[in-house]
Amino acid sequence: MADYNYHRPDIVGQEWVPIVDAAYQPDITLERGYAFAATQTGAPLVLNRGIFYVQAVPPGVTTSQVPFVSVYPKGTEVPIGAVMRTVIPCSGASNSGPNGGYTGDLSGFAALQNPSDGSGFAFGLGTASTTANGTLDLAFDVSAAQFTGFTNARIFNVSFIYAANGNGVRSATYPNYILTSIRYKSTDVYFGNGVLEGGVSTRGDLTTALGRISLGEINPNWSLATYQGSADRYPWTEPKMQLWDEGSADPMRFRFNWQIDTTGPTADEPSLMYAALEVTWAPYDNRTAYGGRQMGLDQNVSGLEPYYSTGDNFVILRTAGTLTTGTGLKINTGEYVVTSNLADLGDMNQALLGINAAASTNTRPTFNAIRELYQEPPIQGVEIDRVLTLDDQFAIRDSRIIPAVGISVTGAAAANRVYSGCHGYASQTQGTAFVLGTTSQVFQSVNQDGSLPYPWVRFYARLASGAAAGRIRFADNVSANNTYVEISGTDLLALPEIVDGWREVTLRFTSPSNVPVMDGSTTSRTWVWSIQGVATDEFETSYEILAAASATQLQDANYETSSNDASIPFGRAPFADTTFLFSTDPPAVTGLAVVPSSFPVTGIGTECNVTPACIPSTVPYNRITWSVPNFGTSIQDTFDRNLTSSWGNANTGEAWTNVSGSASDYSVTGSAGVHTHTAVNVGHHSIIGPTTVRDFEAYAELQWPGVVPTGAAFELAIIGRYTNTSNYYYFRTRWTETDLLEVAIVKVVAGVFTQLGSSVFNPQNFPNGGSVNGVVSMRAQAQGSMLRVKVWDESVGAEPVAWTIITSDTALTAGQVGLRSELISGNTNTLPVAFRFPTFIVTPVTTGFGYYELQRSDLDTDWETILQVTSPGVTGFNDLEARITMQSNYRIRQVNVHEFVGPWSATVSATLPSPAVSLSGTGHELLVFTANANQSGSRALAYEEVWEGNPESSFTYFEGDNMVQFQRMYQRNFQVGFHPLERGGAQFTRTLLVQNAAVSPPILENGFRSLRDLAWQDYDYICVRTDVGDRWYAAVEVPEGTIRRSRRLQLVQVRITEVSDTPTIMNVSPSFTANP
Amino acid sequence: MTSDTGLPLTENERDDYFDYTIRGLRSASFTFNLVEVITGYDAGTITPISNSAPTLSHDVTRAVKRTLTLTLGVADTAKFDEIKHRVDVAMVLGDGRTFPLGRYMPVSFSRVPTTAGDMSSVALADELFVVSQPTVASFSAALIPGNAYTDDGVGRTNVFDVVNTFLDQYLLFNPTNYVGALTSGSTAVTTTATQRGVERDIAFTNYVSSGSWQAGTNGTTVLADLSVSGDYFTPWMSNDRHFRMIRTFNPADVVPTFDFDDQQNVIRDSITRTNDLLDAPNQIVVVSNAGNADNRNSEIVGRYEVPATAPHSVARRGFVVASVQDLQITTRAQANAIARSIAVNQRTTERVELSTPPDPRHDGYDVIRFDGVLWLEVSWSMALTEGGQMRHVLQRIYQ
Repeated sequence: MADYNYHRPDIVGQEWVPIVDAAYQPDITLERGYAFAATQTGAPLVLNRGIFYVQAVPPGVTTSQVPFVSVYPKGTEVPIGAVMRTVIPCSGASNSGPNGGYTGDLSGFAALQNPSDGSGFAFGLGTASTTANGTLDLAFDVSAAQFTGFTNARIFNVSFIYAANGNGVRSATYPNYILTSIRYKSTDVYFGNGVLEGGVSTRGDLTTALGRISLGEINPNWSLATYQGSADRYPWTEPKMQLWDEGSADPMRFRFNWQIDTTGPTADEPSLMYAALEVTWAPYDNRTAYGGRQMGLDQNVSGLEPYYSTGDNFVILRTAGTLTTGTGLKINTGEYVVTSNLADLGDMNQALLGINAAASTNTRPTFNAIRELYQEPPIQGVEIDRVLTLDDQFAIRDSRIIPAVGISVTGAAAANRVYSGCHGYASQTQGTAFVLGTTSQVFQSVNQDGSLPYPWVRFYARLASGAAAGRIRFADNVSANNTYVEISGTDLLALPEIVDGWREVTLRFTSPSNVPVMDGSTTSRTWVWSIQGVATDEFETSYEILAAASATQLQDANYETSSNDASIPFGRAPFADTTFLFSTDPPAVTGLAVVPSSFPVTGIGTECNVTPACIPSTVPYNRITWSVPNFGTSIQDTFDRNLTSSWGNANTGEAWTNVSGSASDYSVTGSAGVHTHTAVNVGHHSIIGPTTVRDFEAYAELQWPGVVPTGAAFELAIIGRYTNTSNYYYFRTRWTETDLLEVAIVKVVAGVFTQLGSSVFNPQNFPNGGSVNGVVSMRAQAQGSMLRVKVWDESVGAEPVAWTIITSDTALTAGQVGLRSELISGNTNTLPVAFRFPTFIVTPVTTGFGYYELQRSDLDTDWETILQVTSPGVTGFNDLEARITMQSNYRIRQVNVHEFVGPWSATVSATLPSPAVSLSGTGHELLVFTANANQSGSRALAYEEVWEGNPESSFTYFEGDNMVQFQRMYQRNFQVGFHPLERGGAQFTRTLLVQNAAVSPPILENGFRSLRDLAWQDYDYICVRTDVGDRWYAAVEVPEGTIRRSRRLQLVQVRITEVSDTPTIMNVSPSFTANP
Repeated sequence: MTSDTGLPLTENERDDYFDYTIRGLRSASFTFNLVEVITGYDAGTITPISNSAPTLSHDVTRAVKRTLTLTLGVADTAKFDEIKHRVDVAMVLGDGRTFPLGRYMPVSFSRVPTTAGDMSSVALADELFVVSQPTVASFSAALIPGNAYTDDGVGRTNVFDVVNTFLDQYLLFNPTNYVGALTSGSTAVTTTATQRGVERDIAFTNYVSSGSWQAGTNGTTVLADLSVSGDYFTPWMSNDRHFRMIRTFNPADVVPTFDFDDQQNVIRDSITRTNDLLDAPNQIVVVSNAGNADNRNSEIVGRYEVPATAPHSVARRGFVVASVQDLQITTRAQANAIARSIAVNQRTTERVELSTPPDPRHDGYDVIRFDGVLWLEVSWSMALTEGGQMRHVLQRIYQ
């Protein structure tokens, strides 16, 4: 089963939410699918079938449909290069029968290579009204030189294109026909079109425009078996296309077979003037495997046609291009995309032999699919738009509609049971809770992180019938455990509706209930949804709980063990899982501190060494900092220095310590750290960072030496929780002497090495994994007792979502991080051998982390969120919007990926002082212009206000600007005032002193530019503050500037209009903490 | 990764430039780029006079859905060649993102001579204007290569293929050699790389057509007829300059594209609600007039009755107000689908008009949640000035 619990151990349960059924009719224009991870620890996975899930079979008789399943390596769904077309001229023609012959100057295939030369082939009239006929077979020079780029192409369409003239007027008595078919090994597969084939209706003149008979994308002769012998269908491939060659040993031909009666005038004799094959293709077929299956009536097949059935249907998968099955169809560890669609059959089965493939009688089935509420990383839906124009490329886009399609592998219990890494749910279903019944689900934690309390639970519910009476109770069915939560029906309806009445219910286990503890063991607990607080005869009120199901057992439809399907009243869905999850409390954030800080402000014209008067000295702000959670750390090193016998310090300042081997084995080249090995079986360790690191996420680029391993493997690794060479974890990759790439997590405790998990890659699909100087990208993660690692090749694709290995261990709890290499004992490479490490980055763990939420309050404002930072490596923030000379308070908490909140930190406080003003006495009134969006303070400004005569500050309030409407009412004295709920905000105008110096600024207007530039920034607002605690989130307009006293006094007028009373919630990147 | 568990469920990702009133300031502008239609060369930008209130309108009831009006200054008028130039419009946000708003061609060009040179007023329409011209030859679905015959001997072709074949006739849509989906098409038109055609995004349909149209019929009339036959909404040119035809749907059954209740971006005092409940039909009847229909022995009639929950339903109103359509159709299933389609397309029962700030994500047939229910957006009109208003007309259909 796909990983529906990606964020364990922070969250356990079903994270994937099947919010709406999204069943659809497949067609030939769109492939729908999703990404899945294939993992292996032993023998390679061998693909068997493609499975798709039919919700409803077509209501009409199915005619010639080919449902098709494709498997792509993830990230390569789009063919390389643009779509191209190649026209292959006719290179062979032979005719037989008593009639027909070449017209014009040329004969044979030469007569069919140019539509304008007057030469062609005439389909002769019969000598007797019922017997006249003949055949014409055409070959095409597919192997010609101009077609060589076609190797490994993805062929989208093959068409026969032609020009014809004459008249195919039918006789009233005897039908005429010109059948068109592909002939291969004495078998004809018929294709028709509206021009050349005989119909039963009156037809017009054959056209002289080029016509086309589409042979579609399916090759009817994909194997030596005849078309009629199998329902399996596969696309055109380059090797099979060569059967069109004139010299092919197994020739495939395009055949005309005609009968035209004698009653027509000779002048109406139809003629073929031009013939060619047109192939539409892209340079490379990226698919790993594919398969199609003929469904329904087919004029070319009798007695063998399968039909759609409700539930699971299948195709036989074969390797793309070579069309092999069995062990030749193995796939390696990695991420893939599986899609389904209907294949293009072209003009096959048009009205030739009484079979009508018209769409009106050839309705399509309905395939199962579910629309997810939000995307979980391991389940990524995709849509591939197959409608292409020439020179265009496939269009691929993310989709939240996840179709019920998958692959099966050999050796599975049932051929149609999809592979355990695939998505297994087909439709939404609902559990019911009412007075006569409950819904329950056995749940077994897989948190893999020891015993953890989970005080939060979330599920999705709706009122199904009756009044919103009573309460929904979610409880452990063992009453002695005393673990439950409840929500009343009215509270449920007060929650925002998502769709179809569904509401997201998030509850916390509070006293007198116990908090559930999940320990990742095999112990299962049964959770029950029941209704409380209604009389036993109140049947009307019922609630439903969201669940997902397989209509039949497409797969073990659950996210834990193989036997814990939900128990739902009425037997609504036997293979279903309710959607619910538990969450831990995100840990408290520690180390919160605030320090009043400031950015300096200078006047203009200062280069003259004259201090301008009345210029504020600073723009004040609060600097808030906190600690990295869970004893994590942030380290970055790109080794952009040159050192010998040392690794020096990382970019972020931490010192490297090298252990084992000699000092000269360790060097830095300006682009990589280097371990040089002069002996085998000597592990080299480079260690860095605090000795207390518990949870970390480390990324490293690991580069192999410039030689191939002989005798024994090369090893490269990331180290974690290191205390000494006898105690640490390492996450290793090995390039073996047999050219395999092995990945493993190993613990070393008291000098004893124990492998905790491993996986094997085939380097053929991992180009840099096993190549000299190749670079392997690795990410290792330790979170509590959970250990994860993944490796990938950047030259093949981006970082995969799925982890290669997940395991757990409790032996080591803290230590340093680092890098390791070794020549494994038995290695026979010529010494020395050097390993390189181009990049090493360590951050706090990101899996499960949602964001830090920072709030601010002061005397005038309640707690408001000002920051939601989604990177756990960020540990600081500049608040440029705190009130000046008024105490501001801050608190912070962590929120996890599903918005479950942790406890607030202790509150810290600070008061920003008013900036000093140069060369001035008392009585200043300042305006300070900033925005938290400008963290560097480069746009921060402060000015002193200026008055002519008596100081006066006036404000305009828009509530007085006709926002109150007065109406005179019948039978009522006075007037009634009506005003909206929305407030209007304030507006005021001030004159600010920009320059008051004895010198003239170098550029006259520059004094106003800073303020005008700030006003025109793309910020949510400009925060305007006074030095006595006022604050407005405002739009700033600078309508006027005045220059007096021989250009030495500059005044600017600003109009401040309040546009919000809520601060913007910022998100900042880690670079702000590195360079605050 | 932050979980997107936000409510409610919409197709669009949230965007604080459009969806939140928490943003107190928003900055944006519009660009107008000239493109030389034959060669595809970029002919530079023009800067229309902004205080003349350039307006872009989209109305699904029109054959050519979009119109644009511009006023050009002297330099732009001199630069603008109304015969060969097209105008690509886009909205540019303060954060640098650009949202295309389609390509437009002049349909009316008025010059205003001044002593400084000519100024001009230009009316433009989207490129379906090319198709809206009278056709030069008759067009018959029955004669399309690859069609299918039934026992009456009349060829019929999938409407999907008919639409594609019809569009193949226009240079605008070439090169459009369809892969997979299209099983017919002419190779007679020579195209070059610079004559890149409009891309098509046409949903698949099962329904067939045997219709034919005389020379001189407007191309958009053909497409409108095929839209009915194929259970499509009428086509439009989308923001990304694709020709789009989507199957009809019930707005009440889909995930909305926008949620005005949640996004809080409706401008105060801009809302009006009307309805035509008193004269709205509560039963649509589609009768086939095709003599060669599949089931000639029995009458082909499709009916669609608005559900009893609708305020104008037969159950509530007490009598039938019927709308009868006479069409060439071949099966009862198609007749029923068309009846439903007509109900969705043409029979408004409740309508709301409101204004929001300009939002370039609106395209065609968007579904919007407003005041707790789902509406189909049938037209919008956007002032191409930041700070202007975008007027939306939404309709709600009882089914």
